[in-house]
Amino acid sequence: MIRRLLLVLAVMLVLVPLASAAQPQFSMAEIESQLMCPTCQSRLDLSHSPAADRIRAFVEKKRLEGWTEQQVKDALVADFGPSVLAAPPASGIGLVAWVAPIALVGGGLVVAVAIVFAWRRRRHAGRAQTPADIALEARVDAALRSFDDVL
Amino acid sequence: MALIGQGALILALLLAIYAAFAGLFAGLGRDRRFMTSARNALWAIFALVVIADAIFLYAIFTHDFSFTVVADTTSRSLPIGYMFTAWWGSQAGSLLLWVTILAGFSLLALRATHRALGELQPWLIMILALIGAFFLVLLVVPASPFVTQLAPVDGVGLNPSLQNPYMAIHPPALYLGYVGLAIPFALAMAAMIAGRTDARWLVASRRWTLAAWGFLGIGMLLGSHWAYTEVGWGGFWAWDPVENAALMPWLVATAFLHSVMVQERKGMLKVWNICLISGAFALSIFGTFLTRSGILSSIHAFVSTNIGWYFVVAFVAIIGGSFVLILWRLPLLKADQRIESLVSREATFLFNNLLLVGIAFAVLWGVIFPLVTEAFGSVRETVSTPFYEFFVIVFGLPLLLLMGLGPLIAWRRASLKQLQRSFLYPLAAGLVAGGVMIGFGLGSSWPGVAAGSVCAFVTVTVLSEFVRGAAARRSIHGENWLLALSRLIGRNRRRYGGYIVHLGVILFVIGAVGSSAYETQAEGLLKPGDSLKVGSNVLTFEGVERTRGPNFVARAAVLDVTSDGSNLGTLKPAKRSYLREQTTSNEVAIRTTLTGGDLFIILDGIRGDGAVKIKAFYKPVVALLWIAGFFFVGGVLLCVWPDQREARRILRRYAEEPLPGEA
Amino acid sequence: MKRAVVVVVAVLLLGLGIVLARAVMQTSGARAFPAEVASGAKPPAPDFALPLLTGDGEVTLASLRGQVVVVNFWASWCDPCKDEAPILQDLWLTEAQPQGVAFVGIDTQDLSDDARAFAVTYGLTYPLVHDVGGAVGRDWGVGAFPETFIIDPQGRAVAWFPGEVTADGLRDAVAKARASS
Repeated sequence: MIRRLLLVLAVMLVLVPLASAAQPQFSMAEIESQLMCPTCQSRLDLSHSPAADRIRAFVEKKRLEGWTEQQVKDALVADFGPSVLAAPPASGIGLVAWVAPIALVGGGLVVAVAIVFAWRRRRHAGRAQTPADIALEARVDAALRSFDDVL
Repeated sequence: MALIGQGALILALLLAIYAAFAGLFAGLGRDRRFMTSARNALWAIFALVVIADAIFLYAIFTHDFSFTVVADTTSRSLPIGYMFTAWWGSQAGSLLLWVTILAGFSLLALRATHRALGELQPWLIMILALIGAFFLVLLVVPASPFVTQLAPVDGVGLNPSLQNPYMAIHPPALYLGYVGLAIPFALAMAAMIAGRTDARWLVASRRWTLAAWGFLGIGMLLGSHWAYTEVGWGGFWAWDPVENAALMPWLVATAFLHSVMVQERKGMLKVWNICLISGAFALSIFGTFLTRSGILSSIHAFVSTNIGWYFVVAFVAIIGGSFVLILWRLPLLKADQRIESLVSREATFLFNNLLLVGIAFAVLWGVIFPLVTEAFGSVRETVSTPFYEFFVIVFGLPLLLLMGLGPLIAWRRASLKQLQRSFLYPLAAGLVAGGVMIGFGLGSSWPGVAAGSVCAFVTVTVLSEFVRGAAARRSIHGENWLLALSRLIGRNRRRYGGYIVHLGVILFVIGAVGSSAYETQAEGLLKPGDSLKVGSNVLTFEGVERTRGPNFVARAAVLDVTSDGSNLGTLKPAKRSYLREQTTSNEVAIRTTLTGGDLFIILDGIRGDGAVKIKAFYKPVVALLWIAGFFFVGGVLLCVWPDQREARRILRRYAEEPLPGEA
Repeated sequence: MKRAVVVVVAVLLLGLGIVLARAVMQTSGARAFPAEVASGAKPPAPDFALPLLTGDGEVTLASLRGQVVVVNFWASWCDPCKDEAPILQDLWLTEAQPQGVAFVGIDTQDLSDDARAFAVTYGLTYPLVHDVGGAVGRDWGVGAFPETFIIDPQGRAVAWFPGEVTADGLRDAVAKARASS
């Protein structure tokens, strides 16, 4: 029994590294949409130029050798420069690309909320509500609703 | 002939410059006769441009290859149907189409604003004439369609990728959109110059914006369908600059269409609305610039014209000009009312605008980022799919959520009690949908589950709007459900048309997210007799079939498709080699199943020994993308269709409130 | 507050204008270098410093000043380059090397593994460098492959061959470049 177990263990020990070496870490479709064809300036999965075919062959070969997606990308960047990647890296100058839209929307949100709060404070500080105000407000609300519901 | 055409364009240019000045003088109140004269000039421009069109088309149809442009884009063997496509197949021809549409739209805009906005007309003419003059300069100087040469025996022919029915409709639809945005822009500028900054220009421009926005949307959908079935890599949107060029103005126009409602009702966001419409038009010029100047593909731009310069000047002039006008009229653009609560309809519109503009900015930033890095002396970075998809998900999901929240939240400020009541069912629907998706094993993709629950939430809100409205009519007027529903929609076209578009958006999102987040894919090298399993389908490779077309040879992999034991027939993905153009193209094989999913097969390569590389996808619910298109078109038509009752209502409202200048 | 907004918008607009103008300038100038060479204007060739394809070290154009230099842009996936390689190698061995004419093969838009295999297949022995990122190819306005430039001893580009060179054509151009100096 123990011998059998040991045997299984030994076989596994031999097989596991083999399996992991040959096990592709990513799919072609997945990585192709993240790479560019440098001569055609379109995405790799959309390109059929000779250069694109060579890059595909390279990626496929390295994939079957068990390289990770990152290793393949690094190797391609070393040959073609960063423009082979379909999105700039989130570091260096590439970080600017990612941060700017977030900063715009985040900043816009902060400004909008701040303005509304400032307005509200001014309104509340300005005056107490009289019955006439309340009646007026009710009329405004009703008018706004009537815009919505023309039945 | 060419001389007459060129002459017509030069004359049109001179008249456009004249019309701009005549509009200016009329606006300054010098002489009313200038107004008549400027209007006549616009008519004359239209007539001259039509003459130029006629000569150009005549040259195309009679194979007059002494016209350089005709020789470069057509040939004797070109099918008649694609002769029109050749019109916009060249730079000069597409600019000619631009000017033609603009001249026609200008006249329509003049008619439409005749009654309610007479005092804006001189300025409207001035702005439109200036825009027209810009494009006429392009047509006269750097990109004339009437350049002649010694006629060759036959033309070069039309680019094969343009010889496609989609390419015959898709560019004109986009152009109608791009040019259509010129009208609301001109109205906004005219309103500011004239000092009439009340909501009148906005109401008049709404229909124009909607139509232009609708054309852009249809153009993009057609382009997507073309990309999906013809380009054939398994997706429908590649985020290339040409696509982004149409998406940016569309997004900003979407923001405008929403924020317009806030200004109409509450007199807020006046500056913002002018910024939006200027931005949308500037981006449509920018889009034309991107697709026409070749700045993003400089390596391939063998034919380099200096047309880019003109566009940079125009782009900066539009933004700078509207900015200066806004600064000048800032005192007139004060908000009548203020936002009272962050939980109010107007606040949801505000957030909606922020997110839409955020996505538009992300796209713009992505398009120009390579140029920016290059300008700073760094290597040209590439920005493509992963970048855009990230922002579409991050900004798009909250946007989708707002689409469901909006109708539930009252104007001014919402009370907690009201919120509880209206949120209960939609929220429950969203949670149930999310739970069901996870239960069915769809939890693998968090954007998928999030989009699914948000879509359920929005669908229930939107549908309950229809049900509530119809129920109210039923109880008030005693109509049956069908009549109540149709009257409800018919009498509030704008609102319910908008909801129908929203339903279209939901379908589109489900189609887009479902087909990408839950697709199954398989790839393999198949020898005859081998099979490949993708989802529940098994593809068995029978052999390679060779066929000849008129100008290509095709090699197809014959694949037998079975699903759970039942035979679904054969599919033949192929590779075409075009002999003369020396290019190959992939002809994908697509089989749509009853549940709206597609089996999508690409032939990636054929080896010498007869083995083939096959890439296969199963894309669920992808058909919803195209169904969404019908909702979109239906909703837009419902909103755009002239509505006498609404027109009367608006006129009545104007009669009640005095103009700001007279108050 | 208002002034700040005005300043920010103005700066952004100006920046956008400059970036676009630059891009347009580059587009209209993209093919300018080859066109200038073809017109006989003898423009100074843009310098480069590129690593050798095999082994360490780099080649700069400046270090070859005083010699006639044949700069050949190629890539391993390019079919005409395959026809051209034996012609170049033959000229290099029999004429250029003995006469003191420098050859530089710039491999651009290519996988370096493929390029090395290519060099072995065709037995190329003249200096081959790898253009990482394709920036040199862009500077020189290379649009198709192969393209060959002849640089005279003063560092001016005197001839341009779009596409495959012929032995005679290249021989003539090199002779002219040597004679003119």
